[in-house]
Parts: sequence; structure tokens; C-alpha cells
Amino acid sequence: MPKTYSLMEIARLGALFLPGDFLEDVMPPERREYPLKVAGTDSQFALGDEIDFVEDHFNALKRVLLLTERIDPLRRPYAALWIRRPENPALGEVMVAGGALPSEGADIMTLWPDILRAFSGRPTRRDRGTGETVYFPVRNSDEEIVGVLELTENVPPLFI
Amino acid sequence: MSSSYLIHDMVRVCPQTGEVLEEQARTGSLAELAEVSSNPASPRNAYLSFQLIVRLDGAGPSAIRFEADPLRGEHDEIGAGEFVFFAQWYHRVKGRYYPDALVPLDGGDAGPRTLSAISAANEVEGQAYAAVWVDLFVPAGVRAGDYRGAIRVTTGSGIDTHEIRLRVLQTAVPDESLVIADLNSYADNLSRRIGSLRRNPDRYEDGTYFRTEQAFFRMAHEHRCLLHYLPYEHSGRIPAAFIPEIEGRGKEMRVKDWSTFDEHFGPYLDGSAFEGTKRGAIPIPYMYLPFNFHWPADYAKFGTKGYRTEFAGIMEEFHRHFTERGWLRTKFELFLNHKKRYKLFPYDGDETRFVWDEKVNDIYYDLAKDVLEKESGAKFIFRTDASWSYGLHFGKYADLIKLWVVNHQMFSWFPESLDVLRDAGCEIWTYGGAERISRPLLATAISPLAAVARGVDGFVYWENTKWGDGWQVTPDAEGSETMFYPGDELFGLEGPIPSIRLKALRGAMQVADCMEQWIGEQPAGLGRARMAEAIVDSFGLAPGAWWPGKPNFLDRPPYEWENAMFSEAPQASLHEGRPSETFNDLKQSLWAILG
Repeated sequence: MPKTYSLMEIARLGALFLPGDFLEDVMPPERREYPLKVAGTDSQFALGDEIDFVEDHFNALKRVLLLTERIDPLRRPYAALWIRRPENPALGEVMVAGGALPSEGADIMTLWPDILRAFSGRPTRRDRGTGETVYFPVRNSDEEIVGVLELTENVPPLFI
Repeated sequence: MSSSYLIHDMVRVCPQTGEVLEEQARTGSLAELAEVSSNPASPRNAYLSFQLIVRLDGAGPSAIRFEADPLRGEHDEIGAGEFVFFAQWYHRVKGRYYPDALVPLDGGDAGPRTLSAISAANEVEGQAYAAVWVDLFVPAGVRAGDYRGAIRVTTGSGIDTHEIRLRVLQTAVPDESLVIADLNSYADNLSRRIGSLRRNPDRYEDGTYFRTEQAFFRMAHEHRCLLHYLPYEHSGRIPAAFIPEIEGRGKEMRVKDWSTFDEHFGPYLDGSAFEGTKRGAIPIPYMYLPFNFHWPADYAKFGTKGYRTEFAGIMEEFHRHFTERGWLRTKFELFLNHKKRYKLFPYDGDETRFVWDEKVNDIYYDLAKDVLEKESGAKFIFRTDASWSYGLHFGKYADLIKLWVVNHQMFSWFPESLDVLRDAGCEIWTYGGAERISRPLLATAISPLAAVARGVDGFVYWENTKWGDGWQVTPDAEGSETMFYPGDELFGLEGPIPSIRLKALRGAMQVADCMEQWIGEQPAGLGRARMAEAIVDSFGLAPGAWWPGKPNFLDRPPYEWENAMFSEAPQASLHEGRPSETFNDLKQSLWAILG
């Protein structure tokens, strides 16, 4: 039987290769506070229309997420990178998704205790009933926490 | 006194009051409506639809029966079997009851789909009227001329006989649509939204899914529409039954097994899925390919030679297989639907707003060009769905992209684009959404007519299977994201049931197809101008009303446009404020031209 890795171990390995500086700069400067551009609009599409990325940074992060999902060939997790909203750190969102979107989706939302714990620097495991999620801090070159890596297994991703 | 009324198909009637629900309708009372509906005309090879509105007496709907006689002409007959009856199902919309879902009625007095059983399930508060939708198919083979027949409605009060005096025209609607009415949806929403599929984990293996999906395709086909089912999610994931089995990676990647793919799609591509329909076994004209940012090539390799190897190699295999199977009447679309709002990819393949994302067009054309540029065999084309950047792109990419699906409002700002794309051999569809149930039926008839007037090849409703869990009461988005309803839970039907809006769309498509057929027979340029004139006259429009002019912000890059600007931007309004009977006026003048 091949050796399998725990989800947390996979997240630790993945986070080693994630360039946190790229996550900080995954959007061009003029788009980082994109929700402010459409404050007051009630169109369901307006917010998403404002999203833009620095492609090289996004692609580098995406590649690590896709490869992290494959570290253990006996597991099939999906990976995503969460950030806190600069204009309101109580809120967060997925900024780069790997093979699938987490079940929470791609919208900006209020962060919950498990993921906030990881944003404070402590890797966190979350029991999801049929499945499991781990949250692992992602740091930039200044060793600041700039995001959280999510790995989830046996929880259906968002269908979109 | 009559307790039932035979009326035309362009208005709907309130089940509580018997009043016409279309606010701008010319005729308000059922008796008047019956008067103006008694002498229809129809082309051959076409459906003629009308409605029977029955005032309920003390016995309720249980005593109501419908029976059709054949229609007899001097030399020919249209059999009673060409009539099909549907109970109208009422939904709660904006505080009123509107009919939309149509439930096929069982022929006899018993069964789960009698008018009585359906009305009981519908539970309309204070119902005083029931309504039945009637489709009459006028076969291609009957002779033109006058036909007479009748429908008898038996109620607790007696029998009403509604005479039908039908004028069958020489004109025949072509089997193949000359305008594409594209009903889009996303795989595999059917399995998510239909209870009997959702509960069956073996649906792809035991044949259940394929049968159910085919019923949707057949219903679309019979209503002169194309169900267009994008096989991949935004992530690039694809259900296994929608792709061939692949083995290997890089240079070793190849198709291992086509069998499930062929079982799934073969019947659409050789037309056999449509045997027994009135239009016949015609292959679907367009189909999405599953190719996307993350299939078959691994996006972890994006930008490398290995990504190209995987993408181009499998596309070549697709082309070879499709050609060998003889699937030569369908255009297969390479379409990149990914949107960066979902944070799965950094580019908008769909509706590019940030101009630098246009590189996706160049990258993927280059990856696929060996197949896209083939001059024989199966036809693969590059498709784009354009909105923000359409004005910047139609000239720049006309040589690479051959199917342009353009936001209907933004397309109307660029009449000059039509010749540019035509000259490059491109096809053009506009896109928008299905109409809300509370909107007049005339609104549903507009898209085919606007396509003819503008001279584009088709139009798209972007989502057509999102009826919502509570559709029986109020469909999601008031029906504007579905043209079908599921038949399984309430009525024991494996496939869909149609909507009144789907019937109205078919009626307009028949007109549009007759117009396009006639245009094709006229000297270049003259036919379309004459048809546009007929539309202008019937609708009381200014000539060229479908080109409303340009907004004042086109000099700014699209990523600087703001949503608020669109409410002020020019928009073609062809039907607002006009009575639904306007469509009947157009048909009358059209039949006078076409004969």
C-alpha cells in the first residue's frame, strides 16, 4: 500500500511552494479594492465585472494549487487561496481556485472562526461531516500572512 | 349560452376572472376574442396553436371533455390525430395567476393527466376558468385551400361546438430552420434539477440520463429551437459521459474509448434522436466542443509546449473521429466560457471586458488552427460571446472567429459590424434571455423577427433549464431562465413539458423561417428590405428601429464603462406598448405576400 499524506501535510507542502508576494499582487493595484468601484449598484453582475488579475501571478499560484492537489495520488482534494478584503478585513474571498471552487463560492463573505484562526497563523483542521478541510497560512517574503490555503476533500465543490 | 371559447394564441387568460392578462391587448372579452380567432390561416408543415377557455360550472373541470374532428377541404383532409391538447398550468406571478407550463392531456377520462387531475394539483384559488392549449399540425403534404372542422367541448352544461375554418397556404415552413433559436444551458444541470435523475447515481450508465436529455433535445427541435448544452463547468470539469475516455499525458495522451461519447451524442449528430418528430431526423446544426482552458490539456502546463501537445493532439483526434462518423452537418464550436469572476482562471474567455484578455483568442486559435483551418471533413469553428469589447473586436478577429454571439443591446450599436463579419464569412447570433412570464407574449415573438430584420443568423437565450424547485408555484426569475419544466415529479413524464412561451417562440420561428425562405428566393438585398418593411408597418416602427444609435461612451475603453451608463444607452424597443395581436397583423400581411 503506498504511503498517504494527511491533508494537513499536503497543505504544508503546498504552502512551501506558494509565492505569497504574488498572492498580494494577484490583482493590479487599481483593482485591489474593486468592490468600492461598484458600491451602490444592485446589478448581480456588476461586482464580478470589476475583477481583473495580473496573469503571471495568477497562473503561478494556480499551477501550485493544481500540483498540490496531486501530491498524494490516493487523495483527490481541491485547493483554493483565500484573502482578507483590504477595505474590510472581517470579510474575505477566494482569490485563486485550483481544480474547483470551494462550496462557499467565489463571493466576498464574512470570514468564520476556523479560517480566521489560520489567518492568525495557526493551521486549522475543520471537520465537514462527510469530508474535511484544512486551512494553512500563506506568507509573503516578509513572512507576513497574506492568505490562507484551503484543501478540502469529500465535500462537493460549488457547481458553476 | 356558450361556456367555452376558442381563442388565438397571443394572449393569456386569468383563471379567476376570465380577463386577458396582456395589458396592451386589443381585445378584452372572451366573446370578442373568439370572434376574431375564428378564421385562422397557416402555412403547411407548420403548427397552428389556439386555446380553449372553459368557464367552470358546478361540476368543475371533472366533467370537461375535448374532441376534435378532422378538418376537411375540397381535395384533402387534416386528420384529428394532428390535434394535441395541453392543460395550462397556472403560476403565481406578481400577485396574479399566469399560465405557462403546459401539461399534455391524457386522451381518455382516466389517468394522471386529465384536466380534472391537473386542476386539482394546481390548486388555483377561486378558479372560475380552465384553459387548454391546442396544437394543430398542418402537414406538408396537404393541399392549399380552405378546410373546415370542429372541436367539441363537453361540460356539465352541455356541448359547445367550435367550428374551425382554416385557410392552408401554399407556403410551407422548411424542415431546417433558417434562423437559429438557441436555448442554452450548462451540463449537467438536468441531473441537478430533475429529481428522478438526481436520485439515480447510475443515470449515465443505465441509459436513463440519455433518454431524458434526448427528450429535451427533441422538444426543442420540435419547437424549431436548438438545445445547446455547454459540457463543462467554469473550472473545466466535465461529466464523464460528455467526453471520450482519455489515457496518457503529454505526447502519450490519446482517446482510449469513444463508446460512451458516441452513444451520448451520436443520435444528435446523425439526426436519429429526432426520428418521429414533425421536422424529421435532422442533425443538430451546432454543438459545443468540450475543449476548454483545463481540458484536455492540463492547465498546470499552460504556456508550455506540453499544453499545446495535449490540446492540439486531442482536437485532431476529435476531428478525425467526427469525420469518420460522418458528422458533417453540424458545426462544432470551440468556445471558452471561463470568467475570471469565479477566480478559476485569470482571463475572461467569455465577454472580454479588459482588452488585454483578448490574447486568449490568439492563444487558442493558434492551438486549434490545424483543425479550424481544415477545408474538408467535420467543421470545427471558433466561437466567441462578445459584449463589452465587441466594438473593438469584430474587425480585429473576424478572420479567426467564425461564430459571433453578441449581447443584443451592444450589437445594436454597431450596424457597421454586420458587413465586416459577413465579408469574412462569419455567422452572427445575438444573445439575451427568455422573457419573464408577466411580460406579454409579443415580447417572446420579437427575437426571431429582429433576427430577420437585422439579417443575423440567430439568437440565444442564455439559460433555459433553471425552472427552480418551486416552479409549480413561481418559477425562478419568473421563468426568464427556463423555457421548459420537468415532467417527472408531478406528471410521471420522463422528459420535459413545454411552456406557453416556448409555443409562442415556435410560432414566431415559423414566421421567421418563412420570411428567410422567401428572402432567399428574391434578388439580393430586395427580399430582406421587403420583410423589414412588413415588420415596420405592422409594429408601427420607424424604419431601422432595430439600430437605435450609439451611446456616448464608446470612446472610453470598456473597462471604464459603468453599469449605470447602460440604463441611458440606446436600446432597440420593438414591441413595448404594442398589443400582442400585432403579431397576428404581421402574419396576415406576410401571408398576403408569401401566399
